[in-house]
Amino acid sequence: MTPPADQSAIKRAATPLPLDEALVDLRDQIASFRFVLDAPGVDEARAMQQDLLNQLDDYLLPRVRRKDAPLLVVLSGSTGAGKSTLVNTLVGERVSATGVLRPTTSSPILVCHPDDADWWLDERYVLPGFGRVPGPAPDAVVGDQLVIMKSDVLPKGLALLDSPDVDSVFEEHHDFAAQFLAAADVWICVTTAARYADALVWRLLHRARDHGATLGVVLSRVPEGGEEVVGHFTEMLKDHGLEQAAQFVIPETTVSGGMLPSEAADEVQMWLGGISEDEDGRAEVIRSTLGGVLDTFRTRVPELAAKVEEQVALRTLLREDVEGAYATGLAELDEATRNGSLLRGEVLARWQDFAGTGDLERALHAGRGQTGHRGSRRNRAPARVRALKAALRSALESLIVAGAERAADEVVSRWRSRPAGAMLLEGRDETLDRASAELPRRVTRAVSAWQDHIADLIRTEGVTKRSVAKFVSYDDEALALVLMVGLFGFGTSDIAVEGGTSAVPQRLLKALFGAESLRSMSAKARADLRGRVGMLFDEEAIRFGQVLDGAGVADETTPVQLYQATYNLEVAR
Amino acid sequence: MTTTTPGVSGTSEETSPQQTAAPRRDPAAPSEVSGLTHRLATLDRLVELGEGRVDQDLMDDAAALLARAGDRLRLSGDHTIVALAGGTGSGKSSLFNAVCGLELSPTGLRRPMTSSAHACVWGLDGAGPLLDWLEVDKRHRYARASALDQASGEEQAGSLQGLILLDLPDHDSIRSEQVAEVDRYVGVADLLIWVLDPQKYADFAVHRRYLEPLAGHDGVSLIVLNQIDRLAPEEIDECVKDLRRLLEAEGSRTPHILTTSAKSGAGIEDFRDVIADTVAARRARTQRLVADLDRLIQRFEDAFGAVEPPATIDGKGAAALVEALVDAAGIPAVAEAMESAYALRATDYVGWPLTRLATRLRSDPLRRMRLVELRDELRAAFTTPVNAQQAHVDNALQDVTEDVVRDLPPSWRRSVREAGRSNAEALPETLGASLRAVVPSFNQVPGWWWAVRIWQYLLLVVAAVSVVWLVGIAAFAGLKVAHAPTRLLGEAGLAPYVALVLVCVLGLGLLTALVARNLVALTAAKHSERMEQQMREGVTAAARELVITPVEEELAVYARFRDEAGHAIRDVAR
Repeated sequence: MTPPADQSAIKRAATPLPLDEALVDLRDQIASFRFVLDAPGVDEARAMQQDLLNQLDDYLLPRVRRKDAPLLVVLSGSTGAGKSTLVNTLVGERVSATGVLRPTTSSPILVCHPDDADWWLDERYVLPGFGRVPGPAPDAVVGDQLVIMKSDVLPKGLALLDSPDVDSVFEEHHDFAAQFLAAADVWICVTTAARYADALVWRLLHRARDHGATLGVVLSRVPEGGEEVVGHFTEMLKDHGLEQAAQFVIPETTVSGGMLPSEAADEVQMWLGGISEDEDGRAEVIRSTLGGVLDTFRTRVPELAAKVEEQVALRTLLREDVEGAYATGLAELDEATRNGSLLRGEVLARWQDFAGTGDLERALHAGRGQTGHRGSRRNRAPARVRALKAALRSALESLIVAGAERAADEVVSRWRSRPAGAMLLEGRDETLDRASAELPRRVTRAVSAWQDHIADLIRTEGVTKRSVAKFVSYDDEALALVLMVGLFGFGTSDIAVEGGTSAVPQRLLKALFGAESLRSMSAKARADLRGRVGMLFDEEAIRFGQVLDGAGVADETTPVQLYQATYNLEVAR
Repeated sequence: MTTTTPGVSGTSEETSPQQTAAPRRDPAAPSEVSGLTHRLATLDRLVELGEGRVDQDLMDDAAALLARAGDRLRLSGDHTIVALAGGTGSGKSSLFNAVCGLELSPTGLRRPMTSSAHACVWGLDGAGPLLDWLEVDKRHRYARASALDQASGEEQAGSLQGLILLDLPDHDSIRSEQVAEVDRYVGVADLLIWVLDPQKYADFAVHRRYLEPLAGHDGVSLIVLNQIDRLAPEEIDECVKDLRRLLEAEGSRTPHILTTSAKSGAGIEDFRDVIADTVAARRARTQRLVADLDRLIQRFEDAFGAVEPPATIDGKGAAALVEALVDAAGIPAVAEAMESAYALRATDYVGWPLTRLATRLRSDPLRRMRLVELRDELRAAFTTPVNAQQAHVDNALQDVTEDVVRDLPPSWRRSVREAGRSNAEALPETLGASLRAVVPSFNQVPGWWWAVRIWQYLLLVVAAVSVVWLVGIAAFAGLKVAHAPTRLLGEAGLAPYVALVLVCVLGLGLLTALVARNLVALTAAKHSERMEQQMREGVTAAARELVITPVEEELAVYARFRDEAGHAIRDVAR
């Protein structure tokens, strides 16, 4: 154990946070977010997060708070390697079931000295996620309950945990095994001569190495003449950077009463005895595992933070998909309201009806000067004006609605091409790939507001040229329509040119208001339209934003806070 | 498909393996092969119909299976590819050697032992291409001639004629690159032998990666529990029972489990017999493909809708579509505009010329704004109805297929919808064209307009004459400026009659104009109605051609796909 005086001196000097508070803080930070967006490597990130949390809850916090707590030795390894047999041999009695059926151990069994039993039976301290059952327990115990057995043979301050396997078909065992390992002060990995090259065994050993645990490796069931295997195994351990691990070899022998001949496990027994009974040895184990685990946090938490940053980046990407689609929609709409493509079908027919029958001429009536200007003769041809206005409105509405539909469809197809987006759309794409139900109503409001705005423009800014004002007055409403038709690019579309009319509205308006004034009115009208449609599209895009936000992706500050918590932890050490 | 070897002497169908060493053709094989080819042809059609419509992964897998089946059926049917697979240390190589009777594949305690596949062939005829197809390294190919075996006195050895035994690398050791190789061999072998041992029989790696996904391959899988020498006799049964329970839980119906010990030799003979029977039956090749096919076809159930699809858009939907397109093309508006144009043009002919003159003389804002030419342009604009609004059309097409696709599987829902919109770009132009086709007949000038016009001018002439007459009477009879050249001008008493004529003529002109205008209004309305009717017909035709027909075609494709999938799925059930 580190000299207490030393440590407290450092604490006072460098940081206001004691170690356990720094750890709690880090734990809170890690638990504060979830990996919600599907992306390559996200499963690993989730596992990493769970791993860190488990290790904090099951090992670091209890250990930091109680340095004198009993040591936990976890036996882990392949199914059929003889973990239970080894435990039985070490304890000297049959506490864990053994047999030929795989996997044999389904509920984890913890063996401890009777004096320590209270500590282990209390769910508050170590492994808070597991229930406790005082042993010996019947077979029918579920996997997330620890069976606590007492044994005098074990030294005080030491507990053996016979963990489920890491490689059988029962996948829930793997998670429990991982959690037990995270809680362990000492790991004992048990493998056999037949499977020492299994990928899963080495994954386990790598974990032990990466977690900085104090490690013992047992190679069991070594047949006669197996020196070659032992040599190869030792070599492999070295190649994988595990030469510091204590190594034990147990030959293949007959198992009786669920136990090996006691001499087979002598070495392991002595090693464990050395760890538990000798105060220095004990302190050394705690210090090295604790230090090792905390060391790994230096790289593991930033790694996690990097994964969070990836999530944040992914969210930004998805958001850009939405913004991009609607921006494209807006640009297309802008173009469509400019190039004359709106002036087709009904609108053009109504315009022709309005202009060709002389109603347009009648809208300009001579000789009244400014006085007749406020719509005194509006009743003269209301039907055609109204029809043109309605046609313009409906064309513009359709255009906006179609644009919104296309944008929604585009967003959905862009999202669908990304795993994260596809996940977000799960069960929602039937509604999201269409424009929202309220859109038509909103569009109607926006378009009629725009038409009113244009009429206002004509009224307030449409000051007739002096030369014309003397003998011409006009009907604002009709003129507003002329301005709209002009805005929409009358005369620029091919068809209209074929029809022999080029830019009639513009020429008429120019003659009335003058080029300068017309330009400014057009610019204002266009800007107003773009603003209104932009707002509509924003509202449409919000639906996607809500889905994205509703998913609960970590925000930009999370990684920073993680880094900060790691730094605080370093300082607290 | 199978290659015949000369010297065949198969007398009975159920020739026991020991009776003949020469390769024979199993009588059951041709019908089995043709059944398989038939099903593969169905799958081929499914791929053709579903490509680009159904889930791409499924299509890719189906295409891969078709390619593999094609390859395998083309290659030697007299050979059976038997693969020994399993974890490291389970004793694949030991079993391999035990069957071969020679130490061909290295065995040992070191793990992992075998790093690449070894193959041993009984009967070399036609095996070469097969081994090339399997991509077995030439250095690891061995051949056992049956003659040799017989000479060495091994009685049943001949029964292995036609066997290609593969010793695969393990799939669970730290050499992860081997996994891909194992996957490849497991994918192509005719018979899969899973070598397990008491330590490893419940391993995650083998169960989740291979045994569970291949649970339907009972007929072409054999589970061998090796190393039983490590267990006590009563433990063996327990172990096998547990293994069977595990396999059954994974979906295997009748797992075939053998126990062997390469070390003690127990069970090796049975094992060899099972292989020999399989090889002699020569059915593993097709059975394997059938099992693969069955597994793949089951995935088509997602794309197979339970409900009989509609053949077309129903009358209501079609009517709604036409209505929406009529709106998109603005047909009522076009008809109205045309009606106005007609009336306006008619006024030029049948209007009372004097009224028109009066209008012309009134103050004209356009003239004052020096924009007179605009008037003609405005008039000219009348002649062409133009294309429909793209946006209107798009919106109309959004909903047209909704009723039809409701009961379709999602992937087909999408493809039918797309078919409905496939011509969205071309529709406005087509609608415009169908409208324009109607207009010219409408722009003709009817004969009675001319008649009325001539009549009006006749009246005008009469009126003019009357005026001149009146003036003449006034000048000669009233003011006596000169002596009247004729009595007609000198007689003041005629003036009232002439004036009456003038008034009558003018009144008649106005009356004619009035009557003509009413007549025009009447015909204009009739014309516009007729035109609207014709335009609607054009739109209906366009809707049928550009929207409904593509949807129908797509639905027909789906119906055929569903049919084929139904057949395929029924074949599986059988």
